[in-house]
Amino acid sequence: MLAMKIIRYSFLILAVLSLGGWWTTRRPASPTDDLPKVWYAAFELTGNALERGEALKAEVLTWEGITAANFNAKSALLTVSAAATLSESTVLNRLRASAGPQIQQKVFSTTGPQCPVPASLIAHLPGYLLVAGLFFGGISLLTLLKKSQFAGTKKKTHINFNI
Amino acid sequence: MKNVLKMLGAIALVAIVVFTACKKDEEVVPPTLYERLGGVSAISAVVDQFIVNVVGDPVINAQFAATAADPYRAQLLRNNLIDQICAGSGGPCQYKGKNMKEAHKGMAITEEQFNALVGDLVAALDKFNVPQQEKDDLLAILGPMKSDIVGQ
Repeated sequence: MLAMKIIRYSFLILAVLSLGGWWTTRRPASPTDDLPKVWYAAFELTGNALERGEALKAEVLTWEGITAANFNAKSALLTVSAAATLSESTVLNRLRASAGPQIQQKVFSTTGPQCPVPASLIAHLPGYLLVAGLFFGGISLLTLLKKSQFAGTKKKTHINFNI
Repeated sequence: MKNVLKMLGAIALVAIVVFTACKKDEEVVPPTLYERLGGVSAISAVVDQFIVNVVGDPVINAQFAATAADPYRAQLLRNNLIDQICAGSGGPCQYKGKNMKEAHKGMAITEEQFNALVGDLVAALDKFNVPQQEKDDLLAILGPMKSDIVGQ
């Protein structure tokens, strides 16, 4: 019985802590939440492709799913933002089909200290805390209900015994 | 006498209704910068263009390398920029990111890089033919942030 009591209170404390954590880390609703997701990529142009930079930019802007594009002659980079329905490899393949193989996707080097925890995990933390809070809260509620049900049965048995 | 009083009362009532109605017309609230910019979808189009300009800009893109390499961080940057412009221009958004000083801590952004960033933003606004008045109003909101961004 003591073990059950400890488990019940532990779950209750975990539920309170999780829901408290969710409340403090949650992000208020914003119109940006409803915007379609996009990704960004940069493509390095060389040779003939570099000469066709501006034309390629104009062409890319006509493709469905591309939300913005820019060509910077100084960096020889064609940069695009696109909806999640379009993949980076699809854009690269279409660019190569249009201007030849002298196009590479630019991979930015990330030197220096990096956060060991993925940004996506940090961003999803409020959601995880809410789920954990509801889970532990639910279990606490169930054990409380079970306890009251058990107490009721015990009482009835006692009355029957007296009769 | 009673009729005269009734008549005067009716005239006064009509006058009150007419004058308050006129006053309401004069008190039309001017549209906010957010409304003049075209709302959140127009702001997101400008921000997308701004980010692609920055990623391609050799003066500043090294500062965005880590963010550009991580799709999730890039998305977060985009949403924070939209929220910041939306909230600053009187829209219904709330900026949920770090303050400017904290966000740029350790980045050692130079005056040249800041000017390049402003140039990229102006180019994005020009691409969508944002009128000069709206451009000036928006830059006036973002301008005071310079001291919190440069040299941190």
